[in-house]
Amino acid sequence: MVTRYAIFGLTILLGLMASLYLGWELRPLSATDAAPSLLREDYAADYALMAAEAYAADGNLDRAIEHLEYLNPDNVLAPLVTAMEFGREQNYSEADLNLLTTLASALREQVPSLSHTPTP
Amino acid sequence: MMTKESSKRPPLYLITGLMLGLLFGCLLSFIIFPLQVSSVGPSHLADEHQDQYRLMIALAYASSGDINRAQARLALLGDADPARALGAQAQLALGNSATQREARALASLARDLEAFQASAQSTSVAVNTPNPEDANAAPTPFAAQEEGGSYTLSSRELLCESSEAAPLVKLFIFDESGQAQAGVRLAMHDGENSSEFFTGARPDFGPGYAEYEMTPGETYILSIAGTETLAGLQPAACITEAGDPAWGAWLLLYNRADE
Repeated sequence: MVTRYAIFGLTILLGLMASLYLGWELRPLSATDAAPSLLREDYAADYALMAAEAYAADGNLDRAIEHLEYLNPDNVLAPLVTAMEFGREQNYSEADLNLLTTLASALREQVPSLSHTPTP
Repeated sequence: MMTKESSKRPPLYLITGLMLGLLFGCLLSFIIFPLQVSSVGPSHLADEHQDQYRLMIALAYASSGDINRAQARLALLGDADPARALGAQAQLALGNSATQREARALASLARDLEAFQASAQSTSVAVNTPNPEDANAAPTPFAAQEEGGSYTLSSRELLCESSEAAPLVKLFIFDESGQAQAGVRLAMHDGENSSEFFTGARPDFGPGYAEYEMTPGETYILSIAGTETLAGLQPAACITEAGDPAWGAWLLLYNRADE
């Protein structure tokens, strides 16, 4: 009887291991429907820079906010701050850093609630 | 008697055990602790998010007019024909009165990109035509540029493409007007040795392209046209999107500064 329980336990373990292997290893890793929040840091920083470039051209803050909500709908300032930090680390050109700073300043000035939002 | 009957029955408890294990494992690996995909590139975004990314590239281009940068950004989306993808998206945007500005930006970039690619292709064909009087030319199909002048780094990015790739430096050099610049002399110094190479040696990547394979453990100084431009360049390890360890490739974009 003990042997039978042991074999029963082993089959459970076998099934468990098989499905874990299926779910964590064999399942295709190539995501093709990822959300923007999963973008790698450099791509997200470049997207924030593009939003800043667009803002420099049209001065439309509402539109810039819409663009930044793509990266973080809850805190549009956070991706800009992260992009500025990344840009400094990666030696972005002074012009690019200025674009990011200009948009961040405009957001802080014209949307006061963002000034109190904790940044990453 | 009972023992004989039970020994004749098929071992259902084994199948029950296996099914229980599978069920519990699936719950764990698909629902409770599902595999988290993180740090993806733009090509892995859902279609509607790729459209937004493409739109931002077009709006940024409308602001800066930097076609090389726009082209490099579009390459990240992995479209087979970026100009066609831009054109198709512009058509959709045209159908909505609220997105006319976006439609113009997309269409403008599609048009300029096509023109730029046609121009780069014709330049590449022209400079690759062999000249029988110039049999001892430099190891590049392009004429060498004059030495001197300063170049500024406009973009630096670590690409993590394949676990089998060597640690590379990939350089794109542009002139003052943003055109790819062929025949620029580049050098990598590792403290003891110096290796020279020229842009344009790989015309399939464009006339302003050059690449150099680094040795792990070495630190390099990059010189462009005889001037030390970037120090402390080292091979960098990274993790590919498939989760494999790999050597990254430094993608460096340089623009010649106005004199």
